Amino acid sequence: MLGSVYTKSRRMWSRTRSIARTDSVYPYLLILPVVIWLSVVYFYPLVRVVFFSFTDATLANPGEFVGLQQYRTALTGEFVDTIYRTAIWTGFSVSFAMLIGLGGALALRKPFFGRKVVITIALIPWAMPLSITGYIWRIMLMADIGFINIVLHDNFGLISENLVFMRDYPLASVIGVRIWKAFPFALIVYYARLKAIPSELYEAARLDGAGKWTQFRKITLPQLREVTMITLILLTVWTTMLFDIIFVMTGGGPGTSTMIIPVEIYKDAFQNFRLGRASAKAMITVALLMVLTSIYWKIADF
Amino acid sequence: MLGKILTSSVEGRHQLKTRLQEGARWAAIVTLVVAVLIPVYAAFRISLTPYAQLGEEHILPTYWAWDTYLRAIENTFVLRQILNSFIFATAVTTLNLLIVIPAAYALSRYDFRGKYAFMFGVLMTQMLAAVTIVPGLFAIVVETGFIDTYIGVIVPLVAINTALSLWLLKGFFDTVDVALEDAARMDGCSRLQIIRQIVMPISIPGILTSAIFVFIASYNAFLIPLILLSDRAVNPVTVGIYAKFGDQPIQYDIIMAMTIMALIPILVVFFYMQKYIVKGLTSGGFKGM
Repeated sequence: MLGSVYTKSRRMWSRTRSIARTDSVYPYLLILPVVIWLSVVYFYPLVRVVFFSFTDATLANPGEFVGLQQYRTALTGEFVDTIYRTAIWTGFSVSFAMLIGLGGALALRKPFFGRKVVITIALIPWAMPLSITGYIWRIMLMADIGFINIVLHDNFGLISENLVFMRDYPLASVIGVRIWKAFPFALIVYYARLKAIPSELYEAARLDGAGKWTQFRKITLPQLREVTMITLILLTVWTTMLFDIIFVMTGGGPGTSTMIIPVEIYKDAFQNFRLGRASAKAMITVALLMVLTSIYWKIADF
Repeated sequence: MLGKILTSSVEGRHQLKTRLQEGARWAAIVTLVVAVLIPVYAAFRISLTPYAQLGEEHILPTYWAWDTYLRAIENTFVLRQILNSFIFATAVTTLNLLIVIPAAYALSRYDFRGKYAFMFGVLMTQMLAAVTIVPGLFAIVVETGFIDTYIGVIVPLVAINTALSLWLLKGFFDTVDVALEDAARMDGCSRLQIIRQIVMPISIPGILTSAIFVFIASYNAFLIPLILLSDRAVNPVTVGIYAKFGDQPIQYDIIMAMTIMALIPILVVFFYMQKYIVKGLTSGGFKGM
């Protein structure tokens, strides 16, 4: 699986030009700092995580080798529900963020006075730190002092009772926040891609008598295919591994209603001090993401 | 006569359709702007409302309790923590670019054995995300005694942002014409001279773009400082605000004042550097990932 990703990415990358094929040490010297840095603070910790995942280590003691015990426990326990919940969280947030991004990009396609300002505003959620997005929305959605209830209930009386988002719709609420945070990325990527479609394509289609809808289906959509796959892969990986928003808004609660994989790994490791269990879950997640990305990559077929 | 009516009604229908389309377009644009701005406005409104009046039903700001900001500055570490965020972000950006610029240049200009294995390794760090290495990272930082230090946070953050800047910069170097460098080589320039005198000056926009992305990403960092720093005085502001949710009762007005203060620097960077940000987001950089 991974092999096919590797060969495909290799094919993509090898389109880069270069001054010369070289056997000298010069390029190796240039990449050496990155190699060392990543080895020390990325791959060495990763090796430790792999080792931890076969032990019952806690924060206080290194533990003993327990074989596949941690994996078995994880895959037969509540973690399976967490995986499903994470799939729902990622699936809904990414698809809606991309649809809204595409819609926004289409709406902004024709130039108008103030378009630059609108794009700047639309990018604000992108620039806002994830944790801060979480703090703001946590308070926005509160039952008594939250702005949404103040508007809908207190001022306009559109609803008869305050909505208690975090009790009644916890997962939908955090998904909504994720959409708010993620759609600007999709919007700007689509916006730039739409701009790059040659207008001759549309002129030719118009001469052939194609209507607006046909033009959209036959020209715009195919042109957006590659950029859609890339955005989809990036947002899927980012969202699945996203810790900050849910951690600061709900901590995974109430109960386990918003518990997703990264939050559970954190809680296992740093609140229950079970490094071994957390590491096994981390490894399972990496494996799942790799399978998912390979499937995307296969479908994408660049 | 009949023909005329028919054509005009067809035209009318066409006009109606365009007008509906225009209406939908503007509705979408307005909704988008409102949906983005409302949370920011709501946070601002709460920061200006005295604690006892928080539940009152005013949409427009009715209170102007600026002293909430003064109290936040006096009673929390917010200014210190914003400064900490800046220290982290600046250090991470500088170190990150120092190691990434040569590597990105090598990837763009040379073919060498192991190149694709290296690129694949860097790509993997994107896939793994911070949360999967955190148990191992924590153990290592504790063992080496860097817990609760600036360095203990800066070093991992440099690594976590490597993939981002490496791909942006490689994409940028790919667009820079090699002919100039070839000419300089013919004139007998050394490799270092070529990089210093030819590549760097042309590449300033690309380097600036990468710097802004890494800066924003490290200003946003939350998980790494959360687990590696326990002292409130060395925390970045993202974690500092989280700690305030642990107080009883939770002072929402103070928290939102801290939030607004934490947002201002990053939004200033964003508005000033927007040209570069849009360029970075839409360049080839992200496509290579």
